[in-house]
Formats: sequence, C-alpha cells, structure tokens
Amino acid sequence: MRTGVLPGFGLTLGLVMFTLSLLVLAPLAGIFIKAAGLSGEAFVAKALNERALAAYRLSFGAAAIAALVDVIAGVLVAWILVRYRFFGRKVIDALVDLPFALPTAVAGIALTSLYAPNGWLGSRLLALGVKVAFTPLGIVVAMVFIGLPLVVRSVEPVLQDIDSEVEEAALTLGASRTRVFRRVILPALLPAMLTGFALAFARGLGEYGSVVFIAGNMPGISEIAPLLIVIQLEQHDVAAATAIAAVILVVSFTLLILINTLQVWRRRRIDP
Amino acid sequence: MIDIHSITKTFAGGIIVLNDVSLTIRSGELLALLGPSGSGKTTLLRIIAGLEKPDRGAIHFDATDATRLSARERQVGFVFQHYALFRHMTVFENIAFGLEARPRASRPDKGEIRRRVEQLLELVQIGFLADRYPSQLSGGQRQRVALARALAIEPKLLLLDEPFGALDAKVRRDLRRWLRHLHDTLGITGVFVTHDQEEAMEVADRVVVMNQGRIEQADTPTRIYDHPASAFVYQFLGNVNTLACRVVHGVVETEVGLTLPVAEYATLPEVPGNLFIRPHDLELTPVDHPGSFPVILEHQAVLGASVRLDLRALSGQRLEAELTRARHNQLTLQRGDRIGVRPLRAQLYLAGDVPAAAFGNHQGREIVPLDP
Amino acid sequence: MSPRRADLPFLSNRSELLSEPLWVRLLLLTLALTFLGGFLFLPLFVVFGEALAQGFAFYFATLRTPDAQSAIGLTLLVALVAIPCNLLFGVSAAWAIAKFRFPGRALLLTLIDLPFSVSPVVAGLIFILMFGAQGWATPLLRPFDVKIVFAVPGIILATLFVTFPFIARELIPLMEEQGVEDEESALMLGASGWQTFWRVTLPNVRYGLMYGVLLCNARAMGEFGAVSVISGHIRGLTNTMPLHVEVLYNEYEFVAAFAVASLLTILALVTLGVKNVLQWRYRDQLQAAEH
Repeated sequence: MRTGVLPGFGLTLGLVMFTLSLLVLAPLAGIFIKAAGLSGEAFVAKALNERALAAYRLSFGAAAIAALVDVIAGVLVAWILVRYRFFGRKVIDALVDLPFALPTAVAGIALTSLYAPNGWLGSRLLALGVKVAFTPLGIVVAMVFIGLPLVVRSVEPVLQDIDSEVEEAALTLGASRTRVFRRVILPALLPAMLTGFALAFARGLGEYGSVVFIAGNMPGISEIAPLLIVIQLEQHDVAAATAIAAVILVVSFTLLILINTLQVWRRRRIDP
Repeated sequence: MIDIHSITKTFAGGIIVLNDVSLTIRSGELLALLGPSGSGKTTLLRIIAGLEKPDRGAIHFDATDATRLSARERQVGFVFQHYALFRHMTVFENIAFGLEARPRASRPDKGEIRRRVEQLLELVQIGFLADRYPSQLSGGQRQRVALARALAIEPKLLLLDEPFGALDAKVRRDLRRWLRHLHDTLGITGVFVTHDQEEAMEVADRVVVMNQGRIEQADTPTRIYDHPASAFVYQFLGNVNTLACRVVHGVVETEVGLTLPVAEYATLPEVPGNLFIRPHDLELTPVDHPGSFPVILEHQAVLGASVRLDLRALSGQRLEAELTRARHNQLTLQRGDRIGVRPLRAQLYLAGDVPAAAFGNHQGREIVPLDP
Repeated sequence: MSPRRADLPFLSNRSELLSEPLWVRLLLLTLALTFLGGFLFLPLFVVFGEALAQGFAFYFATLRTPDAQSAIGLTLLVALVAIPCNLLFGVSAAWAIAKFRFPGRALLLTLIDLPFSVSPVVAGLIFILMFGAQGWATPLLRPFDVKIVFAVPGIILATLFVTFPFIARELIPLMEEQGVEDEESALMLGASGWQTFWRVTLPNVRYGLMYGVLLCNARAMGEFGAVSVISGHIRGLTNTMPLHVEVLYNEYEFVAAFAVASLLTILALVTLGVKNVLQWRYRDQLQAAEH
C-alpha cells in the first residue's frame, strides 16, 4: 500500500503511542520493576511457596483440562452449527458468544447456583456421586464456560471454508466417511483447534470472576492463582501479589507469542 | 501545458520506479501512458496528481511550480482504476462531493450545485441513475459516475488510471469511443494509463511508451507504430517475429536463410542483432522467389477477417504470418505445403553491447526491401 | 451448484453423500445441545429464575435500593467515560495502522492486543502498584489531590485498560481492507483531511464502529476482576453492578444478587442480539472484522 498523501499520521500515531505507554505499557512494566526489586530469596518465598505452587498447579491443570474439553465440545458445536440445519440454529449460534458478553461475576454466581449441591444440576449430579461446586471440578466447569466461544469461533470459519469438492474428491477416491474425517477434515481443523486450545487455556489461566464463586477457595486445594493475588492484596502484602502476578504475566505473554506464531503458521498453511 | 522535469521515484526496498523521466503534456491533448505492469506508468500518473511525492524532479502546471502543491491544491480530476466511489452516497451525492467540500467562500449555493450535478449527469448520460447507490450500478455506469465526479471540480487536467481495466470487452470498446468523444467535446487535457496498446492507439492523441521506469518513446500512435524508437516499443505494440541475425559488412544474415542489404552499416565488422518482422508484413511467395526464404506451413487458423499461418523455417524457427481472407482464398494452401515468404518491411536492432554512438542510441533501422 | 433446500437430507445442509448417517447426525446434535444446555442455557435460566424467586414486586424493590441505584449509576458513568476514550483511541489507532505502513507496525498491533492476555486481577493490581500508598506514580499526583485507588478514577482506569483493544481491533482489519483509494479520491476532489475523515472514512466503517462500541460497552459494564481489585468495595461509592452482585451474593442475599445480575444478563443478551443483527445485515461491511 502507498501512503503518500493522507494526513494525520503523526497526530494519530502520537496519540496511540502516548495512550498505550501511559495506560498499558508503563503500568505493566511496574509489575516487573517491582518484582525485580525483590531479592531472589524473597521472590521464591513470595511467589514460589507451597501455597502459590499449589495455586499454579491448580490453575494450569484446570485450565488445561477445561481447554481440552472446550476443544472437543467446540469442534462438536461448530460442526452442528456449520453442517446441520435445525430449528433454533441461529439462536444457538448467537448464544455461543454469551460467555464473552455475560459479566464474569454473573456467570460465576449462576454456575454456582446451578452446580451447588442444592442446585438444579448439582443435586442431580450429587446423587450420582459427583460433587461439582466448591471443588476443583467446579473450577474446570467455570473455565469450560468462558473458553467455549474461543474454540468455536476459531474452528467455525475453517470448517466453513472446507470445500465440499475436496470431500467429494476423497469419497470418489474410495475413502470412507470416517477416513475422510480423519484424513481430510481433521488435519484442516488442527491448527484452528490448537489456536482455540491456546486461547481457552490462556483465558482460563487468568480468569477470576466466573471461577471465584464456584471454586470453594480452600488454600492448597481449590485456590486459583489470580485469587491468591487478591488475597495477598487484602492482607496488604503487595510484594507477594506482585511476584505472583509477574509469574502469571510471563506465562500469559509466552502464550500470546505462541498464539501469534500459531496464527502465522495457519495463514501460511491456508494460502501459501 | 504540464511540464514534467527529471522525475525520479524510488520505493521502499530501493526499487527505482521512475528514473529521470521528463515529459511535456500539451494543453487539450489526450495522452496515453502505455507500458507493462511495473513500468512506472501509474506512479507517474499519481505523481502528476500529487498522490505521490517524487524524490527528485519538478512538475510545472503552466507557469506555476506544482511540485510542492498537495493533491487538494492541484485541482486535478482523478479517476481511479476501481473508481473509488463513496459507497454510502448516491450517485448525485458522489458527484456533488467536490463542490460541497469547498470552503464556504467559494462553495456554490445548493441550487447551483444541483444544476451543475444535473448537467454532468446529462453529459455522461446517466441522469436516470442520480438516486442510486454505487453498489446498484454496472461497471460501465460506475465509470461514468467516477468521471462525472472528477469533472465536477472543473479540473484543468483529467487523469485516469486504467480507465477500462475493470470492464468486460464489449463495454470497454463502447466506453473507449465515448471517452474520446467526450474529450473532444470538453477540450480538456487528459492523461490515462493503460497496458493495452490497442486502447492507447485508438483513443490517444499521443502515446507515451514506458518501460522499467523510463520513457521509451512519446509520439503520435501512427509514428510510434511506424517508427518505433526501440526494440521494446516494437515488441510491445503488437505481435512480432524475432529473427536472430548478424550484420556483416552491410548485409543482414539470418538463420532462416533470409539476407537483406543495409548499405549504412557497410563499414561495420560483424555485429549481432535482431530482425523484427510483423506477421502482416510477411508476404507469401512461390518457393525460391527472389528475396524470399522457404518455410513449411504447419497450421492455419481463420480469425474472422484475417487468417493466421503458423510457419516453420528450415532452421526450425517458428514464424507467424497474417493475411486477409481475400488473399488467403486466392491461394489454396494446405498443411505441410512448402512455400516462400518475404518481408515487406523489417526492423533491425543491433545487440545492446555495441557502442551506441555507431548506431544512434540503439535505435533500430527500418528496412524496406525493394520489390524484386 | 448446491442442491435446492428441499432436496437436502433431514437436519443437514449438504448432500446425502457428504452427510453422516442419520443416527450419527442425531447423536452429534443431541450431544452438542446437551452440552450447551448444561453450560450456556441453564445458567441463563438460573439467573432469571433466582431473580424472580420472590416475585416481581420484590425484584423491583431490590433494584430500587440506594446501593443498587448507586451501583447502576456508577456502572453507567464508567461506560460513559470508557467508550468515548476508547473511540478516540481506537479510531486513531486504526487510522495510523490501517492507512499507513511504518516500521514497528506489527509490534504495535501486538501491543494494542496486550490487555486481552492480561488476567483481570493483574490489570487491577498494576494500577494499585502505580497509584497505591507506595505507588511509583503517587508522588506525581500529590499536588492534585486526586484519589485513584479505592475510588472512581481507579475503576475507570482499570476499565479503560481491559477495554483498550476492543474498538481498535474491530476497525483495523476493516479499514485495512478498504484501502486508501476512497480517501485519496476525496482529497483529489478538494476535501480537507477532516472532511475526508468525517464524510468518507467514518461512514465507510460505521457498522464496524458500532460493533466495537457494543463489545466495548458490554465489557466496560461487566468487568469484575480488575475493578474488584482496585475498587475497595465501598458500598454506595465504589461498587459497580458486578461488584454489587458479589457483595450481595456473599451476604447470602441471593435474590437481590440475581436481580442485579439479571440486569447485566439482559445487557449481555441485548448486546448479542444487536451484534448478530449487525452481523447478518451488514455482513459485507463487517467481513474483514471477523477473525
């Protein structure tokens, strides 16, 4: 693109850089500067103590399981939305984005009420011996909720773009339906599924509002890392909160780079 | 008059798009910038418009130095290749845009704007489309709206970037004629960019052939066709048979068995070159006719009013000849026939590494063999 | 050519050849709908069911309490400040990034998206570190006597941070796809930079802009984590609606909590509705904005 004569570049870029630096970069840098101000020992004591490690383990584990569930369920949902025609499809398509639009606190209390031992679903699941709310399983449920649209919206356009001629070609070559799915459709979806997984995982890792109500928040058992930051802050231990936040940020940024790389890879695969 | 003086433009990555280009555009003429993609013709057009700044060089509009004037200040009409019609405005609003955008002091009142827009709609013959949106128009109609919109600001100069590029063949031919007619009616100075030599030759008063950021030749269509200034121009203007040759002491020798005398080069030792012959300049003769060389007819294709013959010389080189249906009907040609051909005209270009001085700037030399 | 609708097999939108057997289609559909039921629809019903558990009169009474009213007011205020700020920023960012090429452009795009990958809790924490009791920027503010942490400005700052990318990321791909020809054309016709922007650029992206504002608004009104950390939960002063929901819920005032939550849920549903209407009606103008 040529950019010869349009006005306003300096003004707009200046405004963007100014706002970005003041509102995003400087505050974020504050975390790392503060964390770097801690001695190595202090950092370990604050960010890598047993309680914190348990919180990371729980956050990572629950986010990973939830992202996996999201990938499976997300492909299924995208599949029926793209390939099937049924009454109410458009409504369901619209509602898939509910977790984006619904405030996390609302999602949190609704899921908790639903899955609590006296809740509509919780009581029935309890009868089967499954306790959801106030356990790590509850955390997974909340993370599945908020991660689902990320996977569906990653996979959906790719599924839409798969040319039916390609499938027909595979069928004329004598492949069975399952073989077409495994050898033609799945490989095409894989990059989108990976992106969706990474997005859902990253989202679950940092999630607070929808998880905190259903989690139970027992130290060492059902206490997620973001909650630990809040608890440290409430106890006025800003250093500990910062140290934990630094750990989470590093992971988040690594995931961001990974997701960007995945998307570049995808684009290259789609149009070489 | 627009005077373009020594314009040079380099794009990011060091690609030289325009290399020391100078050109004078006369008032009232319709000029075509013709060249392959990447020849710099669109960039030159955009520099004239003020949409691109040259690295070096100057542009004068009559007596004023326009080099530093912004696109806004130049008062030049520009028709974009894909028209760039404002999609949220009706045809009427599109055409009125330039008038309404004027500062209050010089802005015509509402009634005057309406009158002017209606006049323009009439001029481009689309009055009935005034209230439509661009998405509801055909390609040819969009082109007319774009033109009317550009004319609304009463430009001294009208620039058109590939004006017919996005249209299908039939509409293209109609619009070409119409544009020529419109230009003659308005008497406005116009410059258009095209990669289609037929379009340039048909519509323009003068054609500027560009290649790799330089102007190869600027002249009337007839002169360009009859006296191409370089091998590039010759090849770009139409189909051509290229015969590798050597000039030895005033005689052109080719591998197909054709020899032609060129008296001016009699003093030269052996020099390689290329001999160009247009398909319609190859005349069919009996085999062994003086001045001809033998070929075998491989295929003949009837193309409406003319016939194209695919020929193979004894050296294996393939050639193309074109003759009228009438002439073709006189000869009963069959595939595999051995016949003779001779050039009515040919153009000789010597190889590039020969000192330019000896040959007048690589310029070719036309050879018209005498009738034997 | 695709077959006519009537020729298609039951449930499917493709030929029999390319569809799974009917029982597989039914199975997949049942599985998907069951999953969505448990995770999406039931929570939605729970919100309204619980909110209206003690009747409409009680529902409206809880919404009329001073605390609820002040939470609603604060939420509206936050959105009213956040949206114009983000509009200004988003449109500027889109203009600079989509209409021009410059070194560092890709990096800038990534940096604008950065707030998306920061945990909301961390988003709140960074402003405490900046403006808290020992914050590094606190001395700068001392002469002005403004309180940021545990006050409304902090809530607005945190909201600005989390909603920062919304409008920019809707507009950038859209404006990039539209190129610069329209703007160049307007300039050639004698329009000034501002005229070009207001009369050509902005109308060209108006649906994308509405879309961005819609999503930005939903997030601004619904943000919980970041705001929760920085607000201090002062009832009637620094409680936004989501925070008020939390307070009520933790005090076992479930009906009241869900009543406020139901307002936010209606907001979410309206957002989804308008979003989909925009998507269906102006698909061509929004296409580039979809991922």
